[in-house]
Amino acid sequence: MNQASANPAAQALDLLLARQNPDGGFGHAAGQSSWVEPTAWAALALHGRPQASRAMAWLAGQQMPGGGWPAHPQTQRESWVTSLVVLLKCIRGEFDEGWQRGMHWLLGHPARPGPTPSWLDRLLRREPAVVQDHQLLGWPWTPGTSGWIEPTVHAVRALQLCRPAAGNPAVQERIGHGIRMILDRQCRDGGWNYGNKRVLGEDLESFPECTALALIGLAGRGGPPVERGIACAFQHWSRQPRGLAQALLRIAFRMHGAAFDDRPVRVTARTETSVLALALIGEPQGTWKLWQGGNAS
Amino acid sequence: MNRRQWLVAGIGAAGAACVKRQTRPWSRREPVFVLKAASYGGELAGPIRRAIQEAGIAVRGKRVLLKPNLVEFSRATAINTHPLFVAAVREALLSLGAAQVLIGEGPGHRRDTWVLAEEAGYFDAIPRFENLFVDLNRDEVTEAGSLDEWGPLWAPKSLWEADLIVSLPKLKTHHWAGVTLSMKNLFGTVPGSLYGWPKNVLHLYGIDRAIVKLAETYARRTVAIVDGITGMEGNGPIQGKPRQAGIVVAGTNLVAVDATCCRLMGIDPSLVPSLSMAQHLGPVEPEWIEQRGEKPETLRQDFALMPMWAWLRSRKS
Repeated sequence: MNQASANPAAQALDLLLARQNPDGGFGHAAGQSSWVEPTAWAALALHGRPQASRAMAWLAGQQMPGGGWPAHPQTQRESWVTSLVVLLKCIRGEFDEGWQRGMHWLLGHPARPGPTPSWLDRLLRREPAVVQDHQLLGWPWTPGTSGWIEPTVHAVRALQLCRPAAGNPAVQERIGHGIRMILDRQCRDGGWNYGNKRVLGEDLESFPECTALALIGLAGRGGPPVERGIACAFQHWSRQPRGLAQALLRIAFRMHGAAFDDRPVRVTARTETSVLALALIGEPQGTWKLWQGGNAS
Repeated sequence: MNRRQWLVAGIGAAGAACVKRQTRPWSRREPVFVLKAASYGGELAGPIRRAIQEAGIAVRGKRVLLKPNLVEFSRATAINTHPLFVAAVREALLSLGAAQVLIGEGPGHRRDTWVLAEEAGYFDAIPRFENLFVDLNRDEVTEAGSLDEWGPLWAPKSLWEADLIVSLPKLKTHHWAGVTLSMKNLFGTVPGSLYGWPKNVLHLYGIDRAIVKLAETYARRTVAIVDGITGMEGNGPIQGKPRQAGIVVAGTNLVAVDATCCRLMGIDPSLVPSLSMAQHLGPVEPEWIEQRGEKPETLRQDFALMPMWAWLRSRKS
């Protein structure tokens, strides 16, 4: 680590660069084999550097025959991380055959519809066990499962940044569904958790990292739900979040143009690779603008 | 025979099969030790050491992985296995000759495991915690079995390579499963990096079926020490209320331990779906459980049950 390490951002960069495996990918932690999620975030954080191109080359090699990406090559099963790679390809303007297949997979793998309450449920309960609009299809973590906030946010942002698909009504419809799903899952406190706002008659609290992610998915939008979300994000921020929550909240605030009391994300050799990358992405001059849909300065 | 007679015969056969399953003879009675422990303060490692010995848990020379229940954090309630409890178990195991005692967990809701562990007090309570902890959500993985129609069951490598897994659940009721004890605690061994937050596949597989599947996968080298000093009643595993139960339960058979915990909570274990389905892994019947230490019936406290689970209440006094 060099002398610049006194600066948390420089330290995060040093740690991140040192994590790149010889194959070009990144593990969740130092010394680990390459996984798709940390590699994708590292590629975004290092955009413009040769290390990002090497990471992209590794990612390209992991695409499955069906068009999606597995969380880890060993599993050979497509999953939610497909959104991250499609997002990166859109940001980099790589609208190639791999992008096309990735888009096709993403559009073909929505969440499964939620359960329709049975007559017995309706008879016994004043409200459904899980309160949400089950017809709004987001995206799942793994194919065939239910929709949740984080995979939906990543899919929505990926589709929004796919310029060649901008005029495609089917894509726009899926984006609209995803956004309505995110709004539907907003907790009573204004924020979001993983995706359950009310269960068995009790309101659930929001989490800072999920609130930030939902706001990232709603970037470019306004209105009372978003304003409530931002207010809740400030509540979370006032509790001095660390790690992933802090890194994502900084990005969410910047994407929404919300002035906040910025604090660098403190990192150590144990910090998870995705957190290192997201800490860098959320720096004032970081690549959060690319994620938002703009140009990096 | 006419159709009605066939139907009656079929029902009778099915019933007989169920009865037979529930009265399966065991080759031995499974020992479960119940210890009274009023608080997390003071010298807890000593009594826990005794519980480990009395329960017949062999640890000498073994590489052990402790699996606490770390879900979310709230100062208002008691969701997680208490960090002082984990520290005491670790100290006790080392004093009994364990070669290595690591701690691993893969929370199902919170993405940042390290920050959650810090909020829950694990860094403060456990010396050198950051060198001992494995985030099971992001560990290297190995194929451990099958979730049938949902594909392979992947396991964190650190867990898979441990000689002994010690499930350290909190004594809690659970809104979807009735109770969450040493078997349900194994949900945290399923890597979120593959299955997500929450691990929705397990719910779609069927919560009770998944509990049994994980128990089948790990039971042979998993033992349990239950943190029942402060438990949770009602709408667990997160929104319930703390319940001072003042007990620790230890044993080598997860089904027998969980059945004993149910009795301590005033719940009939034979009615708990996952325990009813797991009787090929261990006994729930009291005659096949060798109760050591305190007698469960003398320490029974009826934990509050959600109305949807009221039928689990044991009618035995």
